[in-house]
Amino acid sequence: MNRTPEILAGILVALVLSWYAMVWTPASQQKDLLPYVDGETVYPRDRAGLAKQGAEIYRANGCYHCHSQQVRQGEVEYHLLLTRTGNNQEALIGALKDNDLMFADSNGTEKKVDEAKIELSLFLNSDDLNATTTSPDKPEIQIARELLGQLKDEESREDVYSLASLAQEKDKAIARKFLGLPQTMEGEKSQRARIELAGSLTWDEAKSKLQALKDANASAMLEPRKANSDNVQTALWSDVDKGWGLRRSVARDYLFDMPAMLGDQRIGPDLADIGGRRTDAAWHYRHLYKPREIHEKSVMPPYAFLFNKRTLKKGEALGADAVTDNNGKSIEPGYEVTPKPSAHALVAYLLSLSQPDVVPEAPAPKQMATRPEKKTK
Amino acid sequence: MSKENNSAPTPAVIDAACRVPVLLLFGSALLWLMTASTLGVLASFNFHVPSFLADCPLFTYGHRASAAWTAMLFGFGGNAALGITLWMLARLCGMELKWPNVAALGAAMWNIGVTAAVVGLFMGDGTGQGGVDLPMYAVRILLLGSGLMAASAGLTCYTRSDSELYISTWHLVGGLVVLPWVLVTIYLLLGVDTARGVAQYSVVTWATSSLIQVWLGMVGLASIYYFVPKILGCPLYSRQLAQLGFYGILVLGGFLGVHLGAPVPAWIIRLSDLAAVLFVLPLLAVWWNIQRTVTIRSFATSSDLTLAFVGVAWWSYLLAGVFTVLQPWLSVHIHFTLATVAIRHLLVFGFFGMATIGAIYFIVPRLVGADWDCQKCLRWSFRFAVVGLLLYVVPMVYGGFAQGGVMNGGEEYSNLPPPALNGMRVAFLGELLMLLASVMVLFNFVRLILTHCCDCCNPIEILKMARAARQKGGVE
Repeated sequence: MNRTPEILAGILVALVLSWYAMVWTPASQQKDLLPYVDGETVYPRDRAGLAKQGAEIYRANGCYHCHSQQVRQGEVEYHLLLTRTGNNQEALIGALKDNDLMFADSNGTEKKVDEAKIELSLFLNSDDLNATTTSPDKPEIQIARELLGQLKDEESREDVYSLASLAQEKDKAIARKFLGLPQTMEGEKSQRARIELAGSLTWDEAKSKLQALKDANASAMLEPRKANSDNVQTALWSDVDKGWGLRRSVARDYLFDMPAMLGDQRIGPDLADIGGRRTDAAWHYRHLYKPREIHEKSVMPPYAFLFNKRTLKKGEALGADAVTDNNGKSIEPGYEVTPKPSAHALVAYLLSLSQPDVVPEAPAPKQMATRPEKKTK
Repeated sequence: MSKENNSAPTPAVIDAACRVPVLLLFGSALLWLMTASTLGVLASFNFHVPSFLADCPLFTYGHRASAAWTAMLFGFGGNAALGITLWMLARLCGMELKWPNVAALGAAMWNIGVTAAVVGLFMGDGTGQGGVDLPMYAVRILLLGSGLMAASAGLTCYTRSDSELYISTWHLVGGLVVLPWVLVTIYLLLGVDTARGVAQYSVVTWATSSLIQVWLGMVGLASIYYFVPKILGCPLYSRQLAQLGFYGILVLGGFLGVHLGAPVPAWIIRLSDLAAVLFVLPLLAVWWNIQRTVTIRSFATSSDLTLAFVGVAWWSYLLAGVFTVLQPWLSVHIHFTLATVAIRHLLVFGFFGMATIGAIYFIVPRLVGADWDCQKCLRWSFRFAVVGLLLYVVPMVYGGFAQGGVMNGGEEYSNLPPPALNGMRVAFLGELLMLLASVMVLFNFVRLILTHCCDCCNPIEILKMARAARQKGGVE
């Protein structure tokens, strides 16, 4: 029996599985991915001009053999922060209780400070606010005054005002008077108050709690933070901890990269966000011309062929474009070293490598390490 | 199935028919192996003297590294894999190679393609796509060359007289299908209509993994399954286990290699990790099958050089396989480090290269009709290759783990950390030894051809010899 056709069919079926999953599906998925647009923010944008030419220099010289362009990040946990209470007291307090966020163990006596803030904010949004001037003896107003008595400092009362987010100017004035805050708006805090309702939530938990608060007409936000988890996840955080990026890299970051040079070696540091952490072009020229000027034991080859070098006449000053050392003197004593157009392009490309904190799928986590490499000259 | 051949051709006739393309492919493979090793040494030298060749834009570190890898994978790997495929298929199918001149033309095209790729990479024409960054004009020529050779091999297999297909044939046919498939995918999705964003990364990962794990894996295993029973004179332990390994590698091979934390949709990483864990099944199948066929002692003490090479290849495959299976746990610590380079080299040189050189030692004397002149040289080339491989892989893996430790630790990372650099320095010795071994193998090959095979490149002489051999009945 000639079993060649059966074997051939088996081979084709076996191969098509990985091809479909790893080639076809990602290629069609990425085709549908769009830049993120929010008001005037459009991210990412295609590179243009010098930066685009620089990508070609980076590719042609094989820089991707030593540098990756991808920031890894470990697991995050979410913290739920209340930013506006809205005006539906019953619904909000019900939602907070139902979701084990607050008011669970309140028995009507002394309340916790945050709970007091929320109740006061809800009071400011109610019709009772106008009654503070007309009929100050209403029981609701008495309760509100008791709560206010718990908020000793002005900052807490500003928080209440911020949480209420009143729209009418008239109401604002009454509210500030009731809270005992100065009437002038100059003192109004630009930073909105945030009350932490819960921490260490998984994405699913956070999502359902956030939805419950939205349904109660309140506003809340999620803040991602580094989770305390196993070793693997800790290791994955090292890129962000080193300041190589504000957040993990995501598919959207590479939307216009042709080619996408993600790299698979880190002989040198990651460059995904090099333009975000090293904004000084002079530093890049210096580093490209003489890497050991920056890191004493660098194994990066100098890219001197991207620069012109000429002897300086006696007393001649350096040109504005000249590459200098850290003290502003010529990087080659007695010579003037100036970047060729290819070096200008390469540096423009490096400066364009930036992954800012704008994409919704990867908000920058809190608790950042100090940024960039400190020991450099 | 064709049944026109009533009397199957003898091995000598089969060898004579495929002599030109196979010797051309083997000679080129060895030449490319030496070139790739030299370029690799030149690239690694940068870690001792960073400014080495830095003033020459043609020879940047990136160019040398790209060219070394392309010369290794497509130059050595491609020529050797196709040479073994043509010869072994003809032998296993009991048929003279069909259209040997077409196959020889294909071999020539393939080498023109690899040369264009390497020259193109030095000129800065690389596509920037990681492990498969060869220029698209070279991919077109490679496709054409491999297509011509695949046509010749496919026709030979299709018109064969033996009904039973030995397991090596399955592997070789698998390899013949994978190669053009990957090349077409590279050409279409990284060249003509480039995939968008990170899809390029997953295409590159799939292509690299398919070339190394599946294509070279198939041909390397075909050699192991062919030579071990043949030399020991005993049948392969289990055909079913070999089939399990075969389909396991075909299905899972392309999924491998996506590291944890890659900026791709999370399901791709999960799928790749799952495939890596499942890869334990084909790995165990390969291990148990060979383990039961031959005891360890006979590998180590075998006086047969081919068996010794194949034994090292088998061990290298198992060791690299262990790293592959552990990918979900190791990728965080060793991705982006020297260890991945070492493991890749363990597969390409340690497994495929050693299996291939063993095969060349077996096949070439049969094609030329004379035994190797200098058996001592052969023994020494084996020793150099094995010691070089060990000296390269062990320090690089150690250095890679140290590098990963610093990369994932709290320390500053602006450069290769000292343990990794020291590892590279020891590994450099290993690279030199492997270069020496490749020079010795090439020297032996050229010497044998020059002294015994003056007419081997003359197609008319070959036809005459084939006819004469058939009339005589021939001897193996």
